[in-house]
Amino acid sequence: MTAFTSAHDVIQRFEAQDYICGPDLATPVFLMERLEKPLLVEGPPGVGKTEIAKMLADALGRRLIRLQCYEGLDESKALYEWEYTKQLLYTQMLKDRIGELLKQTETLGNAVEALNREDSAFFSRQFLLPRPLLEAILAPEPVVLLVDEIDRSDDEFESFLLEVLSDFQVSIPELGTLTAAQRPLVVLTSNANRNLSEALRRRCLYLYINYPTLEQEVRIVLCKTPGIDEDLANQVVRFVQKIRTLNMRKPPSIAETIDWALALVVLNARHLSRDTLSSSLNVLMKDREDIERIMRDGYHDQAAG
Amino acid sequence: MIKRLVEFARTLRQSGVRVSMAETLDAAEVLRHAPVTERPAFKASLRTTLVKSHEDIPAFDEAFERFFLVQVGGETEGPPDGHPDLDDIHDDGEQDIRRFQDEQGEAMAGEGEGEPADGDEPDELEGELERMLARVQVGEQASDAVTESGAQPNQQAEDVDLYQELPPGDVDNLYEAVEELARNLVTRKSLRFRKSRHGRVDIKKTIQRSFRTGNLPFHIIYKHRKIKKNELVVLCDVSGSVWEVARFFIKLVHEMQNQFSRARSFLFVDRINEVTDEFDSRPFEDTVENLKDDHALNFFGLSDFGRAFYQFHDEHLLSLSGNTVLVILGDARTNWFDPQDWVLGELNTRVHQTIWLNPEPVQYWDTDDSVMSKYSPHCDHVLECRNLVQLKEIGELILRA
Repeated sequence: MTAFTSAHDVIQRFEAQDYICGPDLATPVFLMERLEKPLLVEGPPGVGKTEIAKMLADALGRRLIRLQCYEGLDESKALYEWEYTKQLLYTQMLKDRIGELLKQTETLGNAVEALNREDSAFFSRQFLLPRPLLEAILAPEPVVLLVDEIDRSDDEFESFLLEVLSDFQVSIPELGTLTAAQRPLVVLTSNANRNLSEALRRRCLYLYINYPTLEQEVRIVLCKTPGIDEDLANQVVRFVQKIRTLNMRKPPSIAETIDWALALVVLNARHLSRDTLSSSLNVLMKDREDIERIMRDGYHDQAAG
Repeated sequence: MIKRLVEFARTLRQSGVRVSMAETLDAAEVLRHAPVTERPAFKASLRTTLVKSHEDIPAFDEAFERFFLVQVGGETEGPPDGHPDLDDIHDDGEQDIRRFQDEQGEAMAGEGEGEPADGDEPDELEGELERMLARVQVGEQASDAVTESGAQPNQQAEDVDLYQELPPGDVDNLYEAVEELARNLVTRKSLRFRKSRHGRVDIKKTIQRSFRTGNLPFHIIYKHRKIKKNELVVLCDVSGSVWEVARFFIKLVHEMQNQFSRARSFLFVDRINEVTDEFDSRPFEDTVENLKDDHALNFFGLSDFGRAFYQFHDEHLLSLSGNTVLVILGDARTNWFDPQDWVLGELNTRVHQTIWLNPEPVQYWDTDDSVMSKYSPHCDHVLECRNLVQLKEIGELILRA
């Protein structure tokens, strides 16, 4: 599919995939594609950060390659690894051939030399196990690379990633330098568990996604919940948005709003009441104390009333 | 027009947003692609390039509204105060960028000679640009210097003397700083774990294992270096002013607790009181403030180290082992009670290491009722503990122990 023509184009194409967004979100996405710069997305959990990369891949008809970060993630998990077992297996199976090869040599030194010449056979691409980063670099067609939850990785990995992202090339000692045939579009997401380095921020475009506005979230719910009544959707979203202002231990995400709306539809609820709330609130809230607080303090009356 | 952008970047810097030269250039580049006549898109374009942290977004919004006083209706062509029209920005943006880059190069070259060399007599505008850029660069260097010193919001937090009464706002900031410090310490520790995991190939085991697969070394077995986890026992004197430091130390221990097989905390004034489980159920800050009201603690009593140690010896001696790191935080001011230092000696023989942290400045140790020198022979380390730098060193020491 063709590149985006404008931020409006982004909004339309995302909307075609049921992802509702405004110009605040669309402009950075449009610009990242146009400028081929990585996009750093921050925001509270469950506002659709990861979704952006998926939408981007779909809208542009590109493959999505995902790298999930976690503490202790290192190069061998992110970039590449040699398949030692395969190498060993091949060595064993080719034993005779190697023996033949070495038969003609006279001294041990010559044998080592002869073997050395065949080195490249064992350190070739066949024995290389590409991990997401290398996969994105080696891909012949343009791809979208999602580096999810970069804040969970260690500082060292962040600096390493910075290096890869700046010129999209990787040096593998045995093979030489591999350079990307095309520049992947890179989306990085972060939950702000850790402060990312200034250097990384400087190189990226930045997008902070907050919880959507009332109208936006109603549209999202209507869009994602088939068979929901518009009044109920309004009530649901108003209730959820109220809860988000109440400093809960785990504020409800958009995904949970949708789940809850779906649950209410399944339960045949027409409007919010204390009964429907008590039977379905655990879909929305995932913390026992939060649930107790809501049921006790009667926020349901305010929101539903 | 690039001038407007540079000025805007400077306005942002003045309101505390860190904007680098590279980012200003990015913003200029971006404006070639974005429809600058549409205010929301224009704003979003600038924001995505100039602001890289959500804390700065309010400052940006405010500065943007102040700076680009363009009417949304689009009827007024010339904004007040001679602000150039937004269309201008678009038209000669490209040209400006090139000039901007040239100027930048020149200004760089001219650096060190004081004034930029003006051999070819630049016209008035260019002269102004150059002066402006020189200013920008000074700002740039300053902000770089800040970046290099590892500046986070807690830049000065490191030097704050913790051994005094602090206003509540500062306390919260310091808690955050301690949290970050703990995170750093823990990451470093986990890195060590990781390195040790990538051990060398265990030849012996690999060969043994290969017998199963017909002498094919099919499974490679690595040597795992085990890193033992210590048990941490903390005894905190919380009387009077020691409390001010104690809470930060407890916070640090709390943040690092998963690095130990077990971390137990005891508070004492004249009696000892275990608080290990208190922190599990509620947020840390609330719990800490509530501890003061705990009657078992006798918070406003006179501290009696000897009695507290003796009680600990009596009740918990058997729970100490060769893996235990015992950390005592206190000013060693016994209020002239019997220090009973032999108890500490006996505790020390049971544990792996004993570390004493004293929040008082070293020169006050052993003055008046302080008996630091009585206790110190029974400790492996005796350290001053009154600011975050020291707290960090202590954290490292405890993790290494």
